Amino acid sequence: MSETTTSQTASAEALPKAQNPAKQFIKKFTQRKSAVAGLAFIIFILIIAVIGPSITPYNPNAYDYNALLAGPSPQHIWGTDEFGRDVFSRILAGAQLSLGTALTASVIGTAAGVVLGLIAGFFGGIVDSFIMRVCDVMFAFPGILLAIAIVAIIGPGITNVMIGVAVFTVPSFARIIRGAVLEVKSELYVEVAQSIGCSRLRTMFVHVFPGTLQALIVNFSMNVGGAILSASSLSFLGFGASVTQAEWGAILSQGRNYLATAPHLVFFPGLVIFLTVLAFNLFGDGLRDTLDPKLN
Amino acid sequence: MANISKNVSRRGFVAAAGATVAGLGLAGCAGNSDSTTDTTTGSADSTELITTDKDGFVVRAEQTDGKAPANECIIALEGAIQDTNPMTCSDGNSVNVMYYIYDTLVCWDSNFELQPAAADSWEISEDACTYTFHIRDGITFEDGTPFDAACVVTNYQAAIDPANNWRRRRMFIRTLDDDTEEVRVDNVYAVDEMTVAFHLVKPYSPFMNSVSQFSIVNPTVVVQGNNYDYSKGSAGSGPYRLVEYAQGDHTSLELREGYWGEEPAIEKITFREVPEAGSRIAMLQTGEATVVYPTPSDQVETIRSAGDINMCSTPSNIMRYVTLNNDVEALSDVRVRQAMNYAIDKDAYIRVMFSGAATEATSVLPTIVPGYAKQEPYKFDLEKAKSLMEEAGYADGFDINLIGDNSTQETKGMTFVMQQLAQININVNVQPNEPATNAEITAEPEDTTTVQMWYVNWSQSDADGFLRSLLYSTSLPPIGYNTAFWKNADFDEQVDAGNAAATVDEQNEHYAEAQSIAWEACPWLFLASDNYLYSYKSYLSDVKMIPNGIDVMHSTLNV
Repeated sequence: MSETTTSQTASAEALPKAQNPAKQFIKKFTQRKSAVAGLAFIIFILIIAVIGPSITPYNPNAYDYNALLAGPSPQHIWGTDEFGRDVFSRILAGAQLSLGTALTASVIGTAAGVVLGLIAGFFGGIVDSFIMRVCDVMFAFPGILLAIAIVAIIGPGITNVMIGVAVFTVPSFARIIRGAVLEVKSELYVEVAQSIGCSRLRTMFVHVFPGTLQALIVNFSMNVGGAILSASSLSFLGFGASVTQAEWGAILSQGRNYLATAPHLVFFPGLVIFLTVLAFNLFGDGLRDTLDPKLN
Repeated sequence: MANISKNVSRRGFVAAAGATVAGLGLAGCAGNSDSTTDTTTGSADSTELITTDKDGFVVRAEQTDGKAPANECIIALEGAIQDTNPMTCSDGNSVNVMYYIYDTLVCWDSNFELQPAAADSWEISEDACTYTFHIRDGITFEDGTPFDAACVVTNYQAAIDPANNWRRRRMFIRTLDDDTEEVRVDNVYAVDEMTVAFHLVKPYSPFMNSVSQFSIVNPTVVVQGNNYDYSKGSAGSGPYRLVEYAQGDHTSLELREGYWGEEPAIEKITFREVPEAGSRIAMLQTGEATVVYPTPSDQVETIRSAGDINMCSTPSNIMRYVTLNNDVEALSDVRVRQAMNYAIDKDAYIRVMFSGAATEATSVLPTIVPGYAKQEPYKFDLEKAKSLMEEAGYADGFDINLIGDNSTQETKGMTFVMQQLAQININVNVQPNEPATNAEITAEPEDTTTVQMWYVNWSQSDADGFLRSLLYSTSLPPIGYNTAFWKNADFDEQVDAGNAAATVDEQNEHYAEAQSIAWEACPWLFLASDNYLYSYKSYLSDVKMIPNGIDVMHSTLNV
């Protein structure tokens, strides 16, 4: 008995190890240092977004008329603004609003894009042509311009900025997902699913959709960076957050009036926006490199 | 592509991320403080307070040998030039443009004294009802039409024509409570070819101020009423003509031939609308602008270090205030309005907004306007403010909207008001709008208006221009600017008595009484009268600030 067991074990050891895809993915991903750093920063900034408002050294709206436009000092490490408000506290507190806006917009835009892409790719024909031509029309506008146009029509405000940014996210996702669907649709398991009588909806969501997840995740992570930039730009232009709210773009926008006298007012919010967008892009890059079979 | 950018940015990214994390660590040690009224932290305040020398200079240029790129004076303004029709325009910047294009019979100088303009002399009859003006010989409009007594009469008739519905009509005809009209001037006639007389129904002491704002248009144009487009071409007898009016961007003027007075030295004047304070200063530094008005008060250091820019500060006839719509339930209680005034730290306002270059409001009039009477200021007193709010039943405050223009300074001012009123639990929702949008919103009549509070400013050269236009009970929008919708019969009576007064002393007595009534009732948040802060390149000489705006008529450019 014991001999057989030993020999079985021995032969099992001789076989190549069963590959755990998750482990493999983590191994490959961790080799990309920049992507890991990006992810670490994203996690860090997300934590800040959640707990930021409760850990600020000063109340982000507390003014101090005796310390106007003061440069960085031990009391105010990132200086104060034109009302003597602590810039560091405002940026910490603003993470929630800035990231919240961008993430919400990305999620909404992605969800709509995915549904449209699935429908277009799966059903094909006239539905496909219609959706794709509408997307082409939207591609004709530069994204930020389209968002400005939308916000100009429906009026300024954080909610409307989310809608604006979401709308220009839709066509790129619709196109990417459609491409992925076309590829997955021709796979054998999809044909099998169809031949055993799965309904179209079931085939589309249960069998085809998971095949597009890889493309979805990669593009989503890349998109968030762009959305942060767009949402901040809109707030910078005065379309988004109210002038009294602590939001990165709005802080930057008010700070630019003091570019010559108090450059710290634009440097720090600018740096934070830059790093956050960079982190999302590096992370997205890493994900794509790891997941893309063509690059492996 | 992706690879390249990744390689380049990785090192920088890690370094920067490290720096940020280090920064966050530092912050952790700074401790947590949640008070909204922060105590002094001892940090150095980097804005310097503005002081002037005896000639009103804040900064005197050290380099004075610079040359202008062309014989063109570019004036960068904060606000918009909203109108090019001299019969309807009301905003300060449009009035400034009109000053260069059109003549008035008389005008104000920088000391608020009346000066002869198209009329070289005038008389007022003993009963104070007939004003006679002697027009200079030889004034002509561009097409050769002479500027004579008949021309003034034609302008008057066009101005009062109800079909035109021009704003200048109100100079001569007043609207009463019941929407009927009262004629102020019943006859304007030519005494002889070059002498024109205005006959008033009853004495009206601010009449000379009206005359100083009555721009005379070419009679062949003015009879066309609203069919003539003043934005396409001007029709004045002044030294300049309108070349281009690009609304929201720029307005260009050029010297015309045949001006009757001393010919100005500057060939072209361009007004550029630059709402961004930082951009205006940048334009001045590079020479893209010759004059900048207003100059942001926190940029003194930038200007000083530029070396070739002069900066001046002179007291102004601008009053900054917030109208409190008395029809809004919470604001209808005088105790609430007084509490709000007590809750505003005027010293801080002047420091934050104007780096000290302003005077606290001590009446509804700025100190330099004739007729000003000093009132007891609402000294910043939170305890008093809170107890007044409690008395009025608003200890927990209320929510309210505050509108204002969306320029840098105005937005900052609104934010300041929001911060101050938060101390007495009033939650102010700040809404910066385009100036044109605000003009529309605030022109809505009483029953449809949405204005609750309006952060605004006003400048006029006489007391009546403040008291009647802003606070008189029939000066409600769209006729006037009483957006506080404040109606007080005693106040009206004093203003009327002031208008009818035969002597200046008697007039000022009534105006003082009116100011005291308004001060007590607080239809506004009284803020401050800020100085004119204007800067110009050292290659431009002798810039003046007059009630009509920036005056470069007698300036020269070193080309």
